[in-house]
Amino acid sequence: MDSFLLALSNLSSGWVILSAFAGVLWGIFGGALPGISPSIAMALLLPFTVGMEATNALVLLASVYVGAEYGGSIPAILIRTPGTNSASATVIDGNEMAKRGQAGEALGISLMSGLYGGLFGLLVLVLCTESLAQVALAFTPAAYFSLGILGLSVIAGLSGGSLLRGLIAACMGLMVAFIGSDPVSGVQRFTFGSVDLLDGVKPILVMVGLFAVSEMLVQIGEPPWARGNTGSTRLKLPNWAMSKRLFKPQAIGAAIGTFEGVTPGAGGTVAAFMAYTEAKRWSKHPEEFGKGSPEGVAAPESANNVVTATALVPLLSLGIPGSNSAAILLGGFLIHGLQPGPMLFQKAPEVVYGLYGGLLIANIAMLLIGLVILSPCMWLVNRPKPYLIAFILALVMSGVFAIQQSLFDCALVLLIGVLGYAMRLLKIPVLPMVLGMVLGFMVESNYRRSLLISGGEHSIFVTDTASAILLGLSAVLSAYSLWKEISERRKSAK
Amino acid sequence: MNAQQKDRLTGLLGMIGSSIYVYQASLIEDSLLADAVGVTGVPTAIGVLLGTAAVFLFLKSWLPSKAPATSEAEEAPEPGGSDHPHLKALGLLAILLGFVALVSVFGFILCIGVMVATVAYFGGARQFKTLIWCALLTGPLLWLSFDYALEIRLPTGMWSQWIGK
Repeated sequence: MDSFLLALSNLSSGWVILSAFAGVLWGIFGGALPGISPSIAMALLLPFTVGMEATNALVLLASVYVGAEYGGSIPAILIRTPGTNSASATVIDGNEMAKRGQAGEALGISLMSGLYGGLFGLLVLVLCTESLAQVALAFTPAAYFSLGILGLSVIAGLSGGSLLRGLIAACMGLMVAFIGSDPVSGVQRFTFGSVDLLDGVKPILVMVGLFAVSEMLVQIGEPPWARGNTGSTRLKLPNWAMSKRLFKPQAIGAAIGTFEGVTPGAGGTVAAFMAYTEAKRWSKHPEEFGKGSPEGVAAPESANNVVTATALVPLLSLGIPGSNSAAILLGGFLIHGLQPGPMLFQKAPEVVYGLYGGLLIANIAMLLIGLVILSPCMWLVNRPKPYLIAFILALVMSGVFAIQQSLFDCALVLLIGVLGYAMRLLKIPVLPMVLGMVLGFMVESNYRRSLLISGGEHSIFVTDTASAILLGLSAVLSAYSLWKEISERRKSAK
Repeated sequence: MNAQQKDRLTGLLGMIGSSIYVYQASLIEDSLLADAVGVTGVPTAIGVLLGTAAVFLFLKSWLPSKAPATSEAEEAPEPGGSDHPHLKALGLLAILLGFVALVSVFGFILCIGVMVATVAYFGGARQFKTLIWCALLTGPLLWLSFDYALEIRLPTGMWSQWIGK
């Protein structure tokens, strides 16, 4: 109780509030730039935290994470360019809403869903850290493999009505994921002797190429002086009726985000895609998904913002950083002589509670900063199209170069853009490819590790309890998707 | 191109792509540390899965179509609008490849400025004053954001002795 009161008194300190606001602002800026991931934005600030007081430093880093995860949705909605990996599910309906002149509504939904998601995640973090940590401990390589399969089972929902095309796209994504070093033996695969491919292809390159570059290749062929049709340049927060409609997808996103967040390695991208497909499955208007559904924006945004808090569960309770961003935060703890893990709650409770309080302020800061900056962002996007295309491409090229300071990446992203253009021509959905790309490494590496553990026995995937549950869930979801697709086809044939 | 022709072409490309991928996988040598599945096991399986899906799609395209597809993928906007959308896309790609090829020689600030002005002109902008201002401002603005605020070094090219750190 004393620690809790101490944390509360910390919150009234101007430095904590300043750290939270500065972190969120920096995070939104970094997250909105394609190529600057939340972890990069955090890493850039890490050296500056050395001289800071521990709580302020950790609040600053955690606030960057909150801001960056939210910031990724702004270009995703306005210019079809996901700023972060986890914002790629928001592109689908967010950008469709923007094209229909509802950019203000889409950004408002994204902001409020992000806020609710962030606050819900914080609640989970505060109340359930110890119990949820057991979930993370129960995950063996077999369970991780099955978790990847569960992620892939949503492909049917992302295939846009053609399971075969969706399967082809997912295979393409998996194939790209296999480029680089083999996860078990380190042998190079599909690198064709190129040093630039030794580390594989980064998912953000695939996403920027498939979404942003291909979109610009399409836009350049359209009438020159058409302005961006984002409608009013005023941010529009959801009204009561809309809020009621969005409650269910936000709750779905929150539940999935909680599960994926506490599982080290799963992350916001998988959570966002799963939340999107589940929101579609349970929606009263599934036909609107992909054409500008507000629910299609709310679910993934809620999910990936829940993850910003729940991803800290395994870090704080077990000392396991489940993502790159959590690893940077771990660095922040270590710099200040703190070791995350069970003892942290006894040794430095004021830092833990201070971090909780800082996260609360960060979410409020996200709302306030969002309210201020979103209208100017919409104004920018309403500039004449030729200038807009040129500026987006300048941003894309700079951001992509910034990832690894590699011109090879810039050329690769153009190649992927051409692939995205061809996929659009041939009506091949890009989302299953993105999902395959994101999950490819996780599925293959854990599949092979499991077989190494079991001595080549595939039964490990059903004898491991967590794995069996996840595989069962994947089978049920896949069967349901197939049944739904077949019954819809029969209906439309009649 | 109608939907069936698109399915046929996708199936054909899928079959070719999967054959090349499986062949490339077969060329990879296993290491001494290899496990039961091996370096090529999973990629080969995925290549075969792609090939199978492509064969099914190809065969399906020859069957008479029963129902009009109304999915989001079907209704996704197809490239088009102007007289030669694919040529324009190719032109834009050429400009961007030119940027990638020249940026290490002429430096980021100059190349990104020229690229922005060229792309905007290519896209139909004809206000020359605005084009010049865009070219002059974009490079330094991005340079300041990346090189100073984010501490990410952008290529300086031939100007390295003046602006390099």
